Amino acid sequence: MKNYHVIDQLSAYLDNELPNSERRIVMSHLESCESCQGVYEDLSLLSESVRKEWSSVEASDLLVDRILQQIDQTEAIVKRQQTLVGCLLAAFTAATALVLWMFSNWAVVESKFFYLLIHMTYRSMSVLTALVAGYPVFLVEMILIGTAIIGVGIWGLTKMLRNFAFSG
Amino acid sequence: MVDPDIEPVIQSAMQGNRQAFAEIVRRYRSFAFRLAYGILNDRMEAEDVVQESFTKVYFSIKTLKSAYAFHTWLSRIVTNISLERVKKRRNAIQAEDIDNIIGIHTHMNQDLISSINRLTLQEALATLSPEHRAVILLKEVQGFEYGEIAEILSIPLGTVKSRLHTSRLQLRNYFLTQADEEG
Repeated sequence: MKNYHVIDQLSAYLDNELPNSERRIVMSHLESCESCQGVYEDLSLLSESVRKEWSSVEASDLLVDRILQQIDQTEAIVKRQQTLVGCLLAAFTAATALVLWMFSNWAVVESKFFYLLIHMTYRSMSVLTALVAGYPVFLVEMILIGTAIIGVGIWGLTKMLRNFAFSG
Repeated sequence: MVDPDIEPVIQSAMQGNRQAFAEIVRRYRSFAFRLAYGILNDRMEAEDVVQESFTKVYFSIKTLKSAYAFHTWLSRIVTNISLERVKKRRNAIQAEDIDNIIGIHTHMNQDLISSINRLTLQEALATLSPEHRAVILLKEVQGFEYGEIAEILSIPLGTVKSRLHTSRLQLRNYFLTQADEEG
């Protein structure tokens, strides 16, 4: 008996979202079935009540100021981050330019300062190699710390992107 | 539903006009709030969601392809943030399967209809799952068509149709049961 009725189609019929052929079947059924007609009227009245009652819900006027303040604060944070990224990029570019200039200038390569720099780098690497060779735990610790730094970096970047980029 | 003269304001906000954006916030705050409040059933949390949504809108409005898509876009942002919050809460009441509809020979009389107010409706909506609440609010309150709701929620059209129907039948069941218990 249930299959005979058109209950499942009533919502879409009410919203005018049925194809014409189905719409005609439902319309014709409603003319002859009091039960379905009753359910249809219930859904229709309920729909109207939800619309009427919920449309009177209003947000507080204070919310506008809160939203605009939040935007100001977020904008200030974004600007600070952009400035920081800009400074880091400038520093990196300057350091790269300096290294390139040093290697391209023979006088600098020949200078005592350059020799000292290379020497210190070599010594640091030797100490590090000795430490790793002598204490394998040191290597494990370094790997763990490195992984943690990369993990925190990825987490921070993801959080930042989630906050400032719209993901739909 | 929405003022017809809002399109130029949206266009202006898309070009970075701060005052135009403030105007959008003023005009759409209740539109967004109704949706968030309906899904979350918590006024304070709904205000937070509206605040977060408009902040997102501000920083990404330039990516909007057309001012005409603004309503759908805003609704999608508000719905997504609201549903994310509900997922975090994990205490949402799940909708019951509507296997048996309360006797199709029993109907809502005029007294029952006129007894529906904001509070009783809020209680009835709370018996639906957040996903069902989202669909019914997008349809009844925001006035979207099935295709638009499917786009906003990223679900198939058939799911929109069945969720909406289930939600309406469940609301009907709720009010008929209440009337039966009282009477």
